[in-house]
Amino acid sequence: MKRNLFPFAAVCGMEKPKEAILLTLVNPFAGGLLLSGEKGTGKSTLVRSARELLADAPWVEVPISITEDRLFGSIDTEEAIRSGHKKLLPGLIDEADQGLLYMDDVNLLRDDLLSAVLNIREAGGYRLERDGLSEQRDASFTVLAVMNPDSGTLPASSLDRFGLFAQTEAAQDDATRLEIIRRVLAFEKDGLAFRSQWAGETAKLQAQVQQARRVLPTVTVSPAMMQLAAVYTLKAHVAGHRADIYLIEAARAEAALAGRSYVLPKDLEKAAEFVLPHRMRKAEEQPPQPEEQPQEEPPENQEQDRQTPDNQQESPDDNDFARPPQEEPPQIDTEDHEGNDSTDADHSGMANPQGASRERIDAADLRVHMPPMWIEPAKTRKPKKGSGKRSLTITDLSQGRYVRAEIPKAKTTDIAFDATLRAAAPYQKARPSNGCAVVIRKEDVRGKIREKRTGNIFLFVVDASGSMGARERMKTVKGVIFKILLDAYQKRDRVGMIAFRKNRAEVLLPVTRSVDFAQKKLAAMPTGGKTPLAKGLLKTEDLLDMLYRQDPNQDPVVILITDGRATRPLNKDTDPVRDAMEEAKRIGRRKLPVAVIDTESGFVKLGLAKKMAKVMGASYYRVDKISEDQLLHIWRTTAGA
Amino acid sequence: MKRQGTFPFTAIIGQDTMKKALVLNVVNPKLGGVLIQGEKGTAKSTAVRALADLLPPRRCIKGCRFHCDPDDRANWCDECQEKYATEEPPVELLPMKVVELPVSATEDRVVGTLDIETAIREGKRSFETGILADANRNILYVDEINLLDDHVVDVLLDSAAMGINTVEREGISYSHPARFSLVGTMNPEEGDIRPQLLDRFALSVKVAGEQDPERRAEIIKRRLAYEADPEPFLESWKDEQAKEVRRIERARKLLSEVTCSNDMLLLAAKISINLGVDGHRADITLIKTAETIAAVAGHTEVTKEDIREASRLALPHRMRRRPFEEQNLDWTEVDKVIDDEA
Repeated sequence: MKRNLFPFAAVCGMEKPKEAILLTLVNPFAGGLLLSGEKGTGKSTLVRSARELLADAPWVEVPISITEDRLFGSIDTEEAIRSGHKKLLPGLIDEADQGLLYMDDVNLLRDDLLSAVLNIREAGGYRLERDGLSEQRDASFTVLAVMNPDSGTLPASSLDRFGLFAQTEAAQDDATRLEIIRRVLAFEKDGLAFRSQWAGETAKLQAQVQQARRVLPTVTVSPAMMQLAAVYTLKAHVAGHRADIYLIEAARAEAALAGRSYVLPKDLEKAAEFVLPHRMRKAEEQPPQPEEQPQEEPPENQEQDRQTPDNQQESPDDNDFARPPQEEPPQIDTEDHEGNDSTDADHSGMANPQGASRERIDAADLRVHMPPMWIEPAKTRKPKKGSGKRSLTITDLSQGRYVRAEIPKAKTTDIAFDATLRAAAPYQKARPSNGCAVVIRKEDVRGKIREKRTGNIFLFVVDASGSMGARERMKTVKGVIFKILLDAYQKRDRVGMIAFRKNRAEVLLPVTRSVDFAQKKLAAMPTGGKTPLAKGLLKTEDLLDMLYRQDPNQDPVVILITDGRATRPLNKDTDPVRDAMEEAKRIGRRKLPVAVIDTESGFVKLGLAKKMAKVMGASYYRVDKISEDQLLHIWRTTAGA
Repeated sequence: MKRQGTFPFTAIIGQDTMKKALVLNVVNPKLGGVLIQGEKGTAKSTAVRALADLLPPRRCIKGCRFHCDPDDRANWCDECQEKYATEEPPVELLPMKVVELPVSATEDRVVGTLDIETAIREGKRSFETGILADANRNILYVDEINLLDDHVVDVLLDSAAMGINTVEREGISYSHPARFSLVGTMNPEEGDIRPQLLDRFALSVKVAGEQDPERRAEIIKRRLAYEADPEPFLESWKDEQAKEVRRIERARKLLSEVTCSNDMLLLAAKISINLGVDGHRADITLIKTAETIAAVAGHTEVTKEDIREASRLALPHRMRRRPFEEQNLDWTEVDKVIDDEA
């Protein structure tokens, strides 16, 4: 369908994203662009509007509901039925050859498809093995992708493969906002008239891009510039050499856009703003990740989009890149953490009860960020591919997304007609006609494999005893839980909550999808009394049993928040701590993903919670190392298939 | 089974904000829909379904399966673009519809899929339209929208964003216009709605059960009368219904004449900045809502009061959520911005 596009030139502000798009259009070797932005900031409008700047190249849109046959190509059923020949019906990858492949909401696209697309782009081609077709195909295209970080992150391994990264933000001044309202309303009222008003500007941009594309092959990079590029990438501690290439190619595009045939330092400097933000790492960083996650990159990449504002607002001098990124794994000492005042302020707040004011919790803003929290997957379970998203479950019901077709093992009612047709098509010449154009036999029938996102279950087990009330600790804990809840809210996870204090443990919140409810319950949770830790764990086991009965495939994530100082035994004469340890061991035997957040503070530390984490095989965090002002982000490495 | 008409919209007692929000979306189909949140039994679904009787007829290209607007060439489907490239399209009047998307709908039914019959009979690949095609220029209604499958929400978001449904699946490559007013109802106790989907609704209203005993009694009375014998009940509300239809038609005509001064545009921008809402959709929706409110009220110049009323409908779901805060909104901030402008 012909698009009624908002003119690129009429998009207010957004100078950086616009520049990044132009670079991408000018030089395909710059590695494509990932544009990230919150809802309603105009990211999709902007990228789509770029379509008319590149008149002579194909522009192909990948909808998130795409199936493999349309992406990679499949047998041409019409041709096969007519002539009995196997011919390829090209997919979008083929159609995008020498042009652009545009993916909106790329983080909602199936991980395996995205990763295949990125692989093909890097390799410049692919081997097609489908429907009895076997071909080596060339494919050279540029990827333009858009994502909203609120709906989930991209796997780090995919992130790194976008050459450029930029971010859109809503304008904050009256005048710009006013102009935006005016233009959008005018466009909506009469799109054609609005477009013709901007036709001159659009033509100018088209010419600029075309001219730059012509100049590009002549743009040379001197050895000195190459060296400078290497300095940039070294200072940013990027992994591998991809960044160097992309940096140089992007700088060449900058030069071409400026009409120059040589690269200047300022080209590199500008290009670095797009090439480096999503790959910067801290020197010699050891992510606290389990061994069995080889494909995962260090965690800071997942949250890269959050840190770019710094780079965009300040001039990107060398110091900027030398500065460690703001995110660190929680187990790493944060003492050399310069340039992150919020963390420092927070630590002093913890030491000083008066400092922990009420506003702190209120200020828990979505925009801040923090180390992703790792919960070690249980050892017996295979790590999931493409973590950071909701868990996927293959469903038997005729529900969920149709991901591929297969020869059904038993009778099926959920027939994949497209695949069935493809299977039957080549044989039509040979089969006696029954009046229809296609004769389908039993052996042609293919069934649909569907996949459903289920979301994880998070089970909070919260110590609400008197010791938790001291020194405003509960406030911090609530803040931490709240952030996990926010994350759950966005990812459609379910949450449940158990609190224990005085002499009992109770299910504060049965497992629910309503995070709103969880928040209310949490806000109203009182503290005080002794610590019946063993009872809390016992209750947890009850709830886990129940969840298991409901759905044995579900692996709830248990998050235990306590200082470990059990003061109330299970029975009259037993030792409270030993009781708790026993129960912890039992939970450990379930091989579920567990995280312990230790709230112990003060000079004398018993380290009981840490011990408990060990017997449970849990990941361990200290609450005072989890900075409250930063977003807690749990990775879904945990969900078993 | 044939449904015996619906409970008359005008016979619904109370719930004025909800009714207003729905009517605004009928008057201005470009507004962008409404999310209705409330406990069960608060007439949410009744109201949306009842809306069908008030929907005005509008000009459509005859025979087009997406009911393209003959006066909006920029958004025609491929078939109309091709057919009527040089000649004027034939026009027919069709009433706007409420198209329901059931929660259990699968992705292929929503976006459309391969037409199996044509494939087997003629050996040709052709596109069988889905719910989104039906929904073009209509109201798309999702009951219990918070329970909708994630991947269905994803495709909804996709076409809601662009007004185009792009299908690349099951051997089919097709795209067609899909501009609809999204109307959703949900009971928040049954789970939350994803923030990105929330943002797609122009307006949001909360409904609660009627608290006044007399009015409650009246609700029961009407409902029982309707259930006992719908025919005479519908008959007795005929005049009210006709009046409402006329009111809507008048407002629709007036809408194109409504103007909004620079001061009012600036006011919308200031409110958004003041409240720290995400993105620009709030500002734009605020103005569009105020314009529609003005048209319904019968004046052609957006006033501050229109903006104030619009803010109550367009902003509640766009405020940044704060930890442990009830979403009882404090309108004093908004009113301060509005009144400071005096």
